[in-house]
Amino acid sequence: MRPAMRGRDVRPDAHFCLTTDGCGREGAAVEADAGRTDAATGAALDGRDAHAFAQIVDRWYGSTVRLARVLTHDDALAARAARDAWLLTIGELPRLEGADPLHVTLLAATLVSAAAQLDAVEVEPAVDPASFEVEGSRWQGWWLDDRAPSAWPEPPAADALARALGRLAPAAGAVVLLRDVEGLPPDEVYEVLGFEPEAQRALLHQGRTAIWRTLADDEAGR
Amino acid sequence: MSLVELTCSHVTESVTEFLEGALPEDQQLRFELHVVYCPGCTVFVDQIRSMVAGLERLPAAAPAEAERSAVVDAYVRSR
Repeated sequence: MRPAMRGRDVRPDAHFCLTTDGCGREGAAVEADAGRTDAATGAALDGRDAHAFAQIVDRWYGSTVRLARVLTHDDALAARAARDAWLLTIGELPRLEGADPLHVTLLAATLVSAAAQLDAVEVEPAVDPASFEVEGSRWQGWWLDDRAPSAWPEPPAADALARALGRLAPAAGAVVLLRDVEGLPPDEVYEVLGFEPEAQRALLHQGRTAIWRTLADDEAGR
Repeated sequence: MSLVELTCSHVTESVTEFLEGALPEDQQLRFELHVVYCPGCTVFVDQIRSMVAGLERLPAAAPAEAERSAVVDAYVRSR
């Protein structure tokens, strides 16, 4: 997985900006700030200036942790999400020149990383393991006779599918929505969410099988 | 992995790779053979296929008229 790096809609004169109040202000002060911050960020992006990069860390690391905390409601998950976002972004630095302001890239990466952290703790087997023959049985891993799926009387209804889709964990839900519902191809989903095809397929599997479990439970009246 | 070694549990965990055509050729074949001979997995794979087809047919999320007008008007004004 890599963070979503948005570099497509960038003005030719785009400047990197380190401070929230330095971005979008008018006048000479901004021009002076822009020169200073562009130089610092440019140096950091080139991997030449650890001090410049440290300035970015000082300003934005806490912000990414805070964003991840809001998304995950968990300190440990938030810390991991923020760290992963920074490490992934650092790996992309040589390719980021001219893209969005670095803090925007970092926050976007944090969003993806936090969603992945949430899904990582919510991964379940596709089917309840109690549905299969247990270890020691000659048929270990095969359906138990009374737990094998029964054919549904009708295809799943749209409202049941929409409800089950709405209950998915964030990353899996986003991938199922964009791939299955909206019909986007994997390369476009990668551009939107930043998930490589393999990670995308894993999330698609998590999402689809979670929907299947919900529908199967509904069918069984559980 | 032989046909027998490919269990129903394996099938349920690799169904998305199978449907995406992402399994190696030999595993794709073993998957197909297992499903042919296993009624439970036949139902399971059919249900996943049916479910994905249902997701693909979910209606597009149409915007409310006010939202639609606001965006279209903004576009017209920008030209």
